[in-house]
Amino acid sequence: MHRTVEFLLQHGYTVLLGWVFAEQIGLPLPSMPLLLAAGALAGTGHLSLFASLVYVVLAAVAADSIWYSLGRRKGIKVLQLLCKISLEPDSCVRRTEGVFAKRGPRSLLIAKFLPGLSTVAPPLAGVFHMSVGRFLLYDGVGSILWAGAFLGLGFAFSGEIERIAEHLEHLGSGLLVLVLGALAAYIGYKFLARRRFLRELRIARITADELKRKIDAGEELVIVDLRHSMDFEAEPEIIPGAFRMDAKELEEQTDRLPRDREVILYCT
Amino acid sequence: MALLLRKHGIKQIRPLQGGLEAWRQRGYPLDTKQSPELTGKEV
Repeated sequence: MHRTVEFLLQHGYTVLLGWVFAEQIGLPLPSMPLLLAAGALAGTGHLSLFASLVYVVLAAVAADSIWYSLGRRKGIKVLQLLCKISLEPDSCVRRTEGVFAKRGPRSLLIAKFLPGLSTVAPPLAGVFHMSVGRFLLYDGVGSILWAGAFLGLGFAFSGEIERIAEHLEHLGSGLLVLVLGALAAYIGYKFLARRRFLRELRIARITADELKRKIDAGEELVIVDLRHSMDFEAEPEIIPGAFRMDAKELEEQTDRLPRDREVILYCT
Repeated sequence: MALLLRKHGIKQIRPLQGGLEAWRQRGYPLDTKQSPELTGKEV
């Protein structure tokens, strides 16, 4: 934190603008410590709280607008691309769509507080053709709430943050190594578990050609369209004979699925 | 999802490679009618 504060003192608002923009555009940079530090600097009179808020909100809305625009033009493919780079790609699209379906445009108000959703919610607003004015309103208010919360916390606890920074400096690099090691272990575990599961699934995957042959041959299959209802509304077409249900419904009806036939699952 | 179904004893699960987009790209037919519901009678 202490180094963050020093860095902020030297470059001030430019760092805030660039850092928040980079994070919101999708780079793995955590903005929270920077916002807390900027708030703390505002508390000690080194930065203006209002100017910091304006720069952060501008950066966030600018980056979000790019994703929103891409979502509008390219559709659901943008969301899939974003989710591919997340640590939980299998649940990323479904989870994001779930939040969006439940809360609608209001999801933009809370998206920045939920890990993983911050970058994914703006393109989703574009995919579902939210109007530009509505998007800017909700995204702007959401950005103000998010930036205000962390800048405000830093401002309110500026004295304590300064003491914590000094304390961490005394602990030296050992703490940093420990934190980085734990983070690397977590990412490594997730990566290996996902690779193992995908290897198992890869063996069982069916190609479009093979499925067509089986349908034409009259094989008894159960085909399940697992797309979220919002995806289905955007493209209301199914593979002939498929049952449409979302993941939750399928989970509740597993007893109705046959054990002696192939169950074909597909998403977008 | 596939992992969850496997835990429920459904072993013959086959995710469609490339999803609906792969099916569409091949030019295979698609239904636009309201999809049926899984009632248990069909399976």
